[in-house]
Amino acid sequence: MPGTTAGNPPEVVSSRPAPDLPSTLSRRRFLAVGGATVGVLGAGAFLAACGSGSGSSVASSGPSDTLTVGVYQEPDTLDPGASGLILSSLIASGIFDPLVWWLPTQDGGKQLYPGLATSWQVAPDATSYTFKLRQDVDFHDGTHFTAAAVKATLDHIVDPATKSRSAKGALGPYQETRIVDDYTVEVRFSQPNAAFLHEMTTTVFGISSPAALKQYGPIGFGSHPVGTGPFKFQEYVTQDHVSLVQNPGYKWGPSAFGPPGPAKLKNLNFKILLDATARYNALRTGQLQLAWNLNPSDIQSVRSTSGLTHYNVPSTGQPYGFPINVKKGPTDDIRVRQAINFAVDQDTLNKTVLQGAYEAAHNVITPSTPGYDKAADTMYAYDPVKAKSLLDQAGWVAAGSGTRAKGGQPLELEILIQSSNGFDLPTQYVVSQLKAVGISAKTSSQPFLTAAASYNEGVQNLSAIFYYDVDPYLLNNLVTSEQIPSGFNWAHYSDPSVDSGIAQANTVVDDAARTARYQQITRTLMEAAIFLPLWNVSGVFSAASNLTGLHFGVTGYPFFHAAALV
Amino acid sequence: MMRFAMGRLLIAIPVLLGVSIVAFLIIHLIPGNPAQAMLFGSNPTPTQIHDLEVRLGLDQPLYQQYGKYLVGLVHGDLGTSFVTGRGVFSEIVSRAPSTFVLSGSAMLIAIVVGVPLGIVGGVRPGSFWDRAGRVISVSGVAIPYFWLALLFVLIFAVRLRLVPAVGTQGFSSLILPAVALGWGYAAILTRLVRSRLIEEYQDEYIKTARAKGCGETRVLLNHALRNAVIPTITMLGLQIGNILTGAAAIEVIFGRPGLGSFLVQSIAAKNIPVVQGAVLFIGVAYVLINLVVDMLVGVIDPRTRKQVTV
Repeated sequence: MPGTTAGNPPEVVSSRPAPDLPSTLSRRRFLAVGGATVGVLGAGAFLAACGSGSGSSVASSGPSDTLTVGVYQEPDTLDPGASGLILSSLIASGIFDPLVWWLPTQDGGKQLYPGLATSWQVAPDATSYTFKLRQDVDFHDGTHFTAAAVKATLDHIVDPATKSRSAKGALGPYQETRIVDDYTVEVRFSQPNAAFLHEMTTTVFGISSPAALKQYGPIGFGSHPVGTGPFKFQEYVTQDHVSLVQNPGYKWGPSAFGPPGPAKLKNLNFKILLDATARYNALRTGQLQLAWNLNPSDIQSVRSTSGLTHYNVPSTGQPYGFPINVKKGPTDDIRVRQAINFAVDQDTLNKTVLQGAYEAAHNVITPSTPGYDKAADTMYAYDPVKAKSLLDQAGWVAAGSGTRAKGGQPLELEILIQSSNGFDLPTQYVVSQLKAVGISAKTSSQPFLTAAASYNEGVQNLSAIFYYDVDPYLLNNLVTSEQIPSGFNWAHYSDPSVDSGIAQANTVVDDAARTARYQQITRTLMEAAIFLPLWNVSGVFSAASNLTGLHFGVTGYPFFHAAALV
Repeated sequence: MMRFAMGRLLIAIPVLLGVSIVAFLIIHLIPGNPAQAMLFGSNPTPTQIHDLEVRLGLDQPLYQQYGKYLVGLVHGDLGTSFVTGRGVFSEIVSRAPSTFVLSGSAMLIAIVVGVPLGIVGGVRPGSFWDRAGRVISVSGVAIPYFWLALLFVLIFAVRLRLVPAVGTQGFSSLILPAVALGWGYAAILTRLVRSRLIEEYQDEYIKTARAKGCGETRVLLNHALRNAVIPTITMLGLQIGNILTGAAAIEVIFGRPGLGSFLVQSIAAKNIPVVQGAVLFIGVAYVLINLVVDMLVGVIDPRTRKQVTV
């Protein structure tokens, strides 16, 4: 599930009025507003007093059965099997259930829980998975859940007409789904696919109603999503909101979320607010009770405001960072790439520029991702002296201008970042750190889809990426050679031993053995210095303190089954 | 008057044609092709990308693509959105009202605040109200509207809890965005009306009017203001483009759906038909509003009608 900003809003599904957000204007108050508006312009001091939110408090919104979540982008579709956005998964996780849940445990580990499947069995060669299904589950449209639904869902994902952006890749070498009986189903792959055990637990494989898939078609289903989840889809008004209502018959949630039963909330709304400051303000005024991805400075304020709570939940995936192009000079020289890694101090970046909002990253995958090799974290511990000596060795010698040069050629990098994904300020910091060791860098910025096309062409030395996924097989999307022309291999890295190593690791069913294989691979990638990690991906949510019962998944995103406003 | 309007509409056709060509060419200059963008993340094969290009007609030469687009346009068909598959016209029309309400309210605020302040200042330069008006107009011109918007939210929504910080429910949620957007234009109007009035008052015809025994109110309303308001109305028409641009930023700050933010997102997604349609739609709106403005000027100032020889 790449974190993209791509996609246009789908159609308006219904034209009902927006849900009632608190609106607080009486006529007398309106007159007061008019007076105050005229009065405010000369009041510079008043402004300054308003500028700081720290240490203040917010009015509690009080008990309610309606939760409004502020989200930062528009869903591309509400069909989890078609979407390429984490946002769509967040919304879809209320509407759909997976066959099996994979959830963090109290002790920092992760555990599989029965979902729509009561038990599952993996073939020793990882080419087939057999699921025994619950027999008491109904879809929101009243149809009954059987093995045919699993087949319909997976077949829908691989249907070219669906244009699946995320699920199809995660499904790997899918061959077919065989219905053994009404409540037993076997998913078969043409090659071993050990990653499926984790992948199938994500919302992109949420089981869809076959009747609805047939009725609305592969594209139309995205505006009429029907699943078995704790909430039913109500409406989506483009550029404004998505609203869900409680599914009163729900009783098949995972045991990790508490005793079986319907959700505590009656209404779950997602309000689309592209601007982070707007989300923060709406959280403070009580229009939102949960806001996604606030600005680091506002997160700082949330932490010191009574009545608000901040969640920064570790996620599996690839950290925010810069893939380094190995095909374009001067970063085709491994010593230059290593120097870049030594030159940047991620801990200071996180403490100062990001105001401690996240966690500094030092690896190609985050610590909670299987295959993470902690020992590799210190491979490029901040050391500008080492960076300079590596550049000296590579023939880039210090020049009067401050920028190193070789044969009259200055040491210059092209940095191309994705706009509006939080990279701007941190990039300025990286540029200043590179400058300190004699590397000068030019930064430009493009919207995600445009940037992705440029990255595939390889015009840049440093690109910008972050990636959420549950299994280390995600590396197949990020570093294998077949992903260079149109995928996420923006480092243009090509190593046959890594390509085959990842394919082989995906044949190993045993968890420990598989993890060991991936540790080997991530270590190789670190040694090749193809990635400058900056900060770890995580679920970043700020909430009203009276919001309880959120459960977070391994990608750091919340489930609303037991959520309540008390 | 009818002939004047028809003439202006005829002149608008090449203008709009130019607008559509520029919009068409610019989006093709952005790196990456739309088919690849639409399939991004799904590991598409080159064949899949090519098939989609053929389906979208992107494999044809540019002039053919543009020609097809023009033919559709003449038949009232703006094409279908690459992303949603819906008609571009309905996509735009469903978003336009919100933007027009916001822009219209901002314009209204500009007129209701700006014109009276300008009159007071123009009639009695140096008076208390003139000085107060100048403070407001200087601040309005100097402070960017997006900053003012953030400030308003902080004060009136977050601190005083008088109005919602975001959203589109009801009149209360329109006040802050409209005032923030309209403020700068109120300032421009104040300055313009004031300076024109001061100038007009020094003209000979005012002396004549007074000499003939005209009362001050009549001098102001029938003579000075009528002349002073002509460049003001022309200026308002020309500012429509700026107000629509400003509305895009204001829409994002206040979480309002609208045409501006839709256009920005469509550009990022390389949704060519939507971008072309939206640019054309805004172009038409701009031309029509300026036509109305010119006709209004014609009503107020008969001299302009006589000069038109189309």
